Formats: sequence, structure tokens, C-alpha cells
Amino acid sequence: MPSPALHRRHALRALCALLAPSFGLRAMAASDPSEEAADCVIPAKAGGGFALTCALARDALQAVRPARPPLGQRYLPGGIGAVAFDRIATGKLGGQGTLVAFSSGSLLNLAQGRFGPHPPSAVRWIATLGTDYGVVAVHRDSPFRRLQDLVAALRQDPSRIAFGAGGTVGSQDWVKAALLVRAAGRDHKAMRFVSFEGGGDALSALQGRHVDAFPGDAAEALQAMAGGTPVRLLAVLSENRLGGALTGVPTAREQGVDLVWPTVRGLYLSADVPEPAVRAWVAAFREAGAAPGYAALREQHGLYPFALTGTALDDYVQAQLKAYRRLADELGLRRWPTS
Amino acid sequence: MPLNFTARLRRASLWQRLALLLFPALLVVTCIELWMTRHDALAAANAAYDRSLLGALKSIDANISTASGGLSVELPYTMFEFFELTASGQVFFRVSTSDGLVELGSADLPAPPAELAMGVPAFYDATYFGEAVRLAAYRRDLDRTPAGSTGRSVLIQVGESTRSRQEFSARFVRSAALRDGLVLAMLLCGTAIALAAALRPLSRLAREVGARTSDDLTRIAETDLPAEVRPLVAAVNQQMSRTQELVSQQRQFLDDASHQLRTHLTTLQMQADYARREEDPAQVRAALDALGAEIARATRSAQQLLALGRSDTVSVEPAEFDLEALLREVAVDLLPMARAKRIDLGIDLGIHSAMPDFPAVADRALMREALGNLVSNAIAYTPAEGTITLFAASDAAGWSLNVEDNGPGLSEEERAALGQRFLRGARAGKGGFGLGLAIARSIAQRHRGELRLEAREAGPGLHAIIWWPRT
Repeated sequence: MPSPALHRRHALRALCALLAPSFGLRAMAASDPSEEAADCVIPAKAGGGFALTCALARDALQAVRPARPPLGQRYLPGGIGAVAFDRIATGKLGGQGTLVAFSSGSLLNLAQGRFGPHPPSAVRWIATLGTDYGVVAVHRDSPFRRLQDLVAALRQDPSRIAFGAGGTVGSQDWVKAALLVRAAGRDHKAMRFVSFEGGGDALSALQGRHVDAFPGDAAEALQAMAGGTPVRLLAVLSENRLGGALTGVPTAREQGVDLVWPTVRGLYLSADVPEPAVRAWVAAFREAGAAPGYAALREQHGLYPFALTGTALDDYVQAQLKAYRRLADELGLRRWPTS
Repeated sequence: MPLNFTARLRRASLWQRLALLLFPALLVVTCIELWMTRHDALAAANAAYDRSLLGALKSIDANISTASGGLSVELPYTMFEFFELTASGQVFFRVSTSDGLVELGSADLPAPPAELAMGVPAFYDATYFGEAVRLAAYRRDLDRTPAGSTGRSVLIQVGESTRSRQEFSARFVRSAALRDGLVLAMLLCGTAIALAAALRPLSRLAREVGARTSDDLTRIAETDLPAEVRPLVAAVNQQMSRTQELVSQQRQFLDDASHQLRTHLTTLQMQADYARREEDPAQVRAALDALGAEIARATRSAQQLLALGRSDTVSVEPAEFDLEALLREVAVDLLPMARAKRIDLGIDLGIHSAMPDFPAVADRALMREALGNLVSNAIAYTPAEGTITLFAASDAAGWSLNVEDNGPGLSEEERAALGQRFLRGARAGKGGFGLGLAIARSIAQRHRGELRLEAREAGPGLHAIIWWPRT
């Protein structure tokens, strides 16, 4: 419920915009949306990576904008971010006070055209807050001690290993598993992939040895391990070894498998938000990322450094979409046309 | 203006009429046919595509497991490859527990419109992300409740974009429209050609009739004309033969009249010349008497001719009258003529029929004329001291006036020929005979009756009957 003051300010701004466009612009620049009440849309159910992104955004923003009301958390589940993206792209949802969380998974879906017939320019990419990395996990008592053991088993018979993860064919976890099978020199179409509602269920299945390997994310694997699930991480899919709880876990590259899979997490806005407002948000998140307490805050949310804003972020998104499209073609995933 | 329209329709050519009636009818039939084709194509497409949707549903169902505790679906790549090959749009699926707490796949697939019966797949249409989708849904029991849910049953939904089936039915309808358009065009062309061929005898007939000379009253050939036109041509022919009959009757009348009058005039000329040459006053007087008698005969002939002419043209005005009075009147009129030949002219009442219903209906003046002619003829041809009897009769069908004489009578051939108009018997030379019978016959015919000439029952003689029916 917007406050009466906000209403008044909106009315004033509209009046200014009507009377003198240039003056109106300056007036709008003067009102910084990062100082005003805003929502962070979590395009999923409670828990999970998107909720984590919005929580981190709220805390980090509060550190550099102590006067602002805390960023509201709003859930809009559906189609792994598809509903929210479609709403924003078609203008049913928007405004400068509506930030939406996204991840590499969103970009992967966007690249495959699963977010409807919208181009990536249908939204304004504001900032990435950090990144998670893919891991390959097995049961603690699994015969596979190293990644090479798993790769060797896959090479022998890819249908012997059942991968279990959240998401379906074409999702991040599926792509990771498919790339692993491909790295073993076998056709990923022969792979066994069991879909669960989320990483948690998949890890439970791993514990019960109903599946053999979990190609998920570090954060959910670490969370399960902290909860006592007997899991062994065979590899982390980052360029270099990571610190913290993942100290000692070798990268896939180290073990001869060239597989890097970051899961970048960030926020976007509606494309019709005026440029000054976009700039204000970008500036706020740049400041938040540079703040001294940010690293600790990010680590607390299980993320590793990956802060991009502005053109750098746009370039990154474009590059990722291109890479994901190529990947989809290589893996025989059908891509739906986007305008 | 419906009146104007119907008037115009009535005046329109057969071509226009057929086009006006046939073309909209054909168009309507074609449109209905197209609509039905579209309906069928959609139903066929739905049936076929629903089958593959059901196949996808069953294969997902077969891969559902709760063995690990959580709800899981194994997704073989080939299965998805197969789905997306058969559909031209995206394929979506959703597997969820009955309480909706655990779900896999596209979380927000539209729910089935009605509560599903266990184990019975249902199909329905919905919109998903602004795109029309067709969904199959199926609910079945789970072996065990999966972690995170209290539901003991699982709902499986598979959906695909309807684009593929819409394209299929659109293609089908397009080709059907093309085919129907072609058929319609061919039908119209064929009908036009067939009509032209069917109507050709009519235009040929018109040409033939138009090419006739004005006095050509011969029949129009009916043999190679369509059955529909034949009654019309037959009616025209009938009309034409009536006209021809009339024309020839009038021609004959003229011939007869001129012959009759010329005979009288020649005789008069001869008698006048004779009287002029004669010097003996007694002889002149005798010649003048003869002249007077001939003038009287000529006058009678002229009167008869006029009567005949009138009997053909004058309008018949039937009224009730007493036949007996008519007999008496005619007998009294002609009695002096009969007396001159000492002929017994009498009226017979109630001998030949029990009790004639004498009030009859006819044109009395015409009947008097006819009867007078018959009696005059009888007096003329019956030898002196003969007998002539007049009587009337009636039966259920009509009335008759009868004249019976005991003269020489007529042979069978003469009876058949006489009374035919202007034909003369062997004794035609006596003059006036042919006309009298013709007048009687004409009058009888004007009353839709006839003149019969019969041999007398007892002994020689002629029995002439004018018979006409009750109306």
C-alpha cells in the first residue's frame, strides 16, 4: 500500500512532466527510486536461489541506503521465472519500484525461448550480486571417489549412472549432467536423468541411493551437508578452487574435465523504466557491491564474487545468451523463436 | 420492393431465373459443406494429436517414482525429442501431488476444468503464457505419499501448443475450400453448358416459328421437342388447327354463298332476257311470275346464308322454353308449303317418349331456325302426298328435336357425308338443301350437340335429329 506522500509525489511528478518535459526529467532524476519503497519479485516459491538473491539485495541495499524502507519480498512463482518475465515484458508488471531476481537459469530459459516470444531487451538488466557454482556430488559411500571415476563409469555405460536433480530436460542441472556425459565421450541422449521438485529432494534421493549423482549447485549441496546428508562433492564447476566450505574440493578442470558452470544471480527492471531511475538503481547496487561489509553479506548467502552492472552486465548477458543458444543447439534442445 | 422483385423475376429469362435460384443455393450448400469440413478436420486433428499427447502422458506416468521418498520423474531424452518432433509448439508437463505441495515441470500449467476421475485421462483447452494449449490430464494413486506432501495421488498434465493442429486443420480447410471452389465453378460451368444444350430446342422452335409465312397454318412438328415444351406446342397446334378450320369454313362459306347467289343471279338474268324478248303479254307475264318466284328463292337463299353466317358468330343465349310450343309454331309456319304439295305435316306428342320434359334450355331463336330448315328440307324432298312428323324428346342426357319423313331417304354414304358442312348430296342441284342441314348442324354444335341423320325405322324415309345436352 503506497503512502499518501508517495501519491502526492507521483502526482507532482506527473504534473511536472506535463508542464515542462525538461524540468520534469530533472525533477524525476531528483527522486531516487533506490531511496523509495520498492519490491523485489521472487519468481518462485519460498526458499531457493531467487529468495536468496532478494534477501541479499535487501540487506546490501540497506547498508548503503540506511534511510530507505527495506526492499519488499514478493513471490510470483511460475515456470522458473517465466511468469514474472512475461509479466514484465508485456507491461502487466513494472515500474521503477519493481526489481525481479534472475539467475543463469533464467538466461538459459530465455536463450531457449521458454520465456515466451520476448527478446532479452524486453527488460533492463540492473546488477548481478554474486554467483554460485555447479558441483558434482555423490553419496558419501559411493564407489566414485573422484570425478574421473564417475567419468570412467559414464564412458563405460552412460545408462548405468542415474543423475538426480531439480529441473527438467534443458534446465541447468540437466545441461551440467549432459556436458559431463559428453566429456566422458558418450552421447548425452543415453543419459539417465531423474527430475525432482528441487535440489533438496534430489539430495534425499542421493542419500537413499535412488540416484547416483547430483549435478546441482554448491549452495544447496552445502546446505544438505550441513543438515547431515551423507554427500561427497567430487568437483566444483568453477575456474579456480573456491574458499570457505568448499576449500579442498577440486575443480572439474583440475580433474581433466573442462566444465565450468557458474550460476550468476542478479536483478532486472522493466524496460520502460526511465533512464534516470535505471541509473539510480545501478548506482545504488554498485555502491552496495563496493561497500566494505558486502563480501561477508554475500558469503553469508552462499555466493561468490560476481558483481556486474551497466554495460558490462549487458555484454555479459548477451555473451551468455549466445553461449547458451549454441549449447542448446549442440545438445539437441529445441529453441523457440523469440522476437 | 418485393412486388417489384417478383414482377422482375417473372419477366426474367430462364437463364437469369436459374442463376438467381441456383447460385445462392449452391453457395449455401458449399459454405455448409466447408463448415462441416472444418469441424471434421478439427475433430480429426484433435483426435490424432490427443493420441500423441496421451502417449506422452503415459510415458511420463511410467517414469514417476516415489521410491526415493520424494516425487521424481525420470526423463529420458528420447521421450522429449519424440514429443517435440510431433508438436510444432512447446511441450509442457507438470507432475504434482493431489495437494499441490510437490510439483515438477511447469508449475503453473492450467488445472483441468473439472475434477478428474481416477485413472481416466481428460483433455481440455486452455491458455498458457498467452498461447492456446491443449492439455491432457490424468490422476492416479501413488504407492506411497511422497516427502513434503500428504497427497496419496498424483496429477500428471501434458500440454502442447495448438499451433500444430490449427495449422493442420487450416491446411485441410484451405484445400477443401479450394476444392469446393473448383467444384462450384465446374458445377456452374457444367450447368451453364447443360442449360444451353437443354434450351437449344426452344430457340430452334422460336426460329422456326418466326420464319413461317403469315398464312402458314400447318402444324408445328412436335416429334423432336422436349417433353416439357410438347404440351405448349400441342396447344398452339390445336389453336392453329381451330383457326385453320375457321378460315377454311369461312372460305367455303364464301364459295358456297357466291355459288348460290351466282346461280340465282344467272337464272334471273336469263328470265329477264327472256321476258324482254317475248312480245306476247301472256308469255311476258308468265316470265315475270317465274322471275318473281326466282327472286323469292334467291331471297330465301340469302336469308339462309345470313342465318348460317349468324349461327357461326351470334352468341348463344340459352333460356328455358317449351319445346312443344316451338314444334307447333314451326309446323304452323310451314303448313302452307306442305299443303301446296299435299303433304301431311303433323306433330306427334308423347308417342316416342313417355312424357317429354318439354321445358328445355337452349337459344330458342336458333333452335327455331334449325328446326325450320329441317322441315323445309323434308317438304322439299318428300314426294307429294307424303307424311312428315315432328316430335320432341328428352332423356337424362339432353333434349332432341326430330323430323321424320317417308320420302326416298338417303343412302348410308350420303347420310355420312350430308350435314358435313357445305357438302351436298346427289340431289344438291335442287338448291338450298346443303345450307339447311349445315345451318341445323351448326346450331346443334353451338349448343355442344349434334345433327344426326338416320334411316326411318319403319319403311323408307329420313329421320333427322337435332340433339343437344343438358348443361
